Amino acid sequence: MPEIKADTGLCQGYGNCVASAEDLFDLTEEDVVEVLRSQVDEDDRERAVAAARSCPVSAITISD
Amino acid sequence: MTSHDDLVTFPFPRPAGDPLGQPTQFREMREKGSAVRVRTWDGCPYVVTRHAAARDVFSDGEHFSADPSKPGFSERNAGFAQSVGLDRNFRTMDGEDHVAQRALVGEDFSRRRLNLLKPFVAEVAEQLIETASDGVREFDIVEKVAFPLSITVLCELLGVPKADRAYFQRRVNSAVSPRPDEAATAGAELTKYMGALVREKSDDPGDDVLSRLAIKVGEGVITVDQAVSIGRMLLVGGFETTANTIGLGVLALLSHSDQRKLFMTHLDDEKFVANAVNELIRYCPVQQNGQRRVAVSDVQIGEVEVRPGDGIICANGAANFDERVFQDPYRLDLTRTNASAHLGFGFGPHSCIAQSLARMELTACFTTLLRRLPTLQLVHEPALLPTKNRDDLAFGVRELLVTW
Repeated sequence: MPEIKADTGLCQGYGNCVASAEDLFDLTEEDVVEVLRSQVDEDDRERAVAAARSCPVSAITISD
Repeated sequence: MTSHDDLVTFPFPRPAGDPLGQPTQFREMREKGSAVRVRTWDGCPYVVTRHAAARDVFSDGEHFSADPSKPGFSERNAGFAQSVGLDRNFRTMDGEDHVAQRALVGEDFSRRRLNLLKPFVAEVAEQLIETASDGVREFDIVEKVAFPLSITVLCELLGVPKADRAYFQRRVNSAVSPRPDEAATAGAELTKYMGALVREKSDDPGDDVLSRLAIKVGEGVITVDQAVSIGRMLLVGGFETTANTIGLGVLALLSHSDQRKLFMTHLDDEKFVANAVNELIRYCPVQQNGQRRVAVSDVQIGEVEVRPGDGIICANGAANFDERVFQDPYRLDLTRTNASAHLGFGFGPHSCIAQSLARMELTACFTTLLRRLPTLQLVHEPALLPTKNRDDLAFGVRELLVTW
């Protein structure tokens, strides 16, 4: 199952990930990424990968 | 050496009398390949029109540089090359330098910070629409709402004094002209003005982007020139794009009555509106000349082998109509489930830094217009509307008269 990881240190709070997949990502009150579901189905992989790639600072990784 | 005589000229002609239409050649290019050579004013770059390939190029800062000084880079037009194209700021940087400089203003563009501007944006939209519709039977959305809203929000964000906003609007308009003389002159004037503003703010910083940059200048992190370059880039990046999307977005809503009805019954449904705004960004042909890169090493774009020095036009506007990703792409569908997959803001490292702000302005504008003037309608047939040119930075209508 694909796993989502986010580096809160790199995160700048732009929210591209949220804009891309609001069921998988959110921003905390401190404006840092929060992964809502770290384990996703294969069906969600494409969206999760797109969200990861949309991050301007490459803070999100998807691993198997 | 392959002859380039048979190459199609880019930018492609727009469909006449169809301000919401797409050049037919975008579809042809999507069929032809992941990257297809075209002829431009300054060379023979590749144009990328498929969604997946565009995302690949946007995501790959290692093989594709955003730096116009690299050999083979193809600029939008002669005017751009003489003004904004000469800027060296995070828009035109790669790798670590890009990340570091973008981070200087990153804090001001976080979603949370931009959300603080929501009440201001809503108020400005409300005021502009109220004033525009007061005591008249018709008004021009472009002149009275779209452009003033865009510049007012930008000036607030950057910290440009209210008294200077008209001056600003004129200079920014000229700075993105395809005519080199006009662009160069206006560009120089803007630079001079912003330099003075940054210096002023060093002594007396406010709560705005230019003040933040002025503080960094004071700390020796960047020079005044670099601060001005960033400020000017943000201004140019957010002005015509937002304003034209408002114009075309209103046109799209008013010329698709079924979608307009749907939008009006969901004005208070934030999720619906957010998706509708994304679909309108996807659908409206504002991005017509693509985002520019140049290959700096051997790399594949899909099935195509690209060499160092090959210019790349990442036609994000065309990619927004890729039937591989968007079913029935020429249909405006405010309920489209993957509307957020549009590339109107680019993608990845160089994606629009202020996209939340842009979406906020569009949302405020569209909802306020239809809430206040529910019987809003076009005065002229869309085919008769004066439009921008195909080599302009952003496409849109020059005038959009409405009545109610």
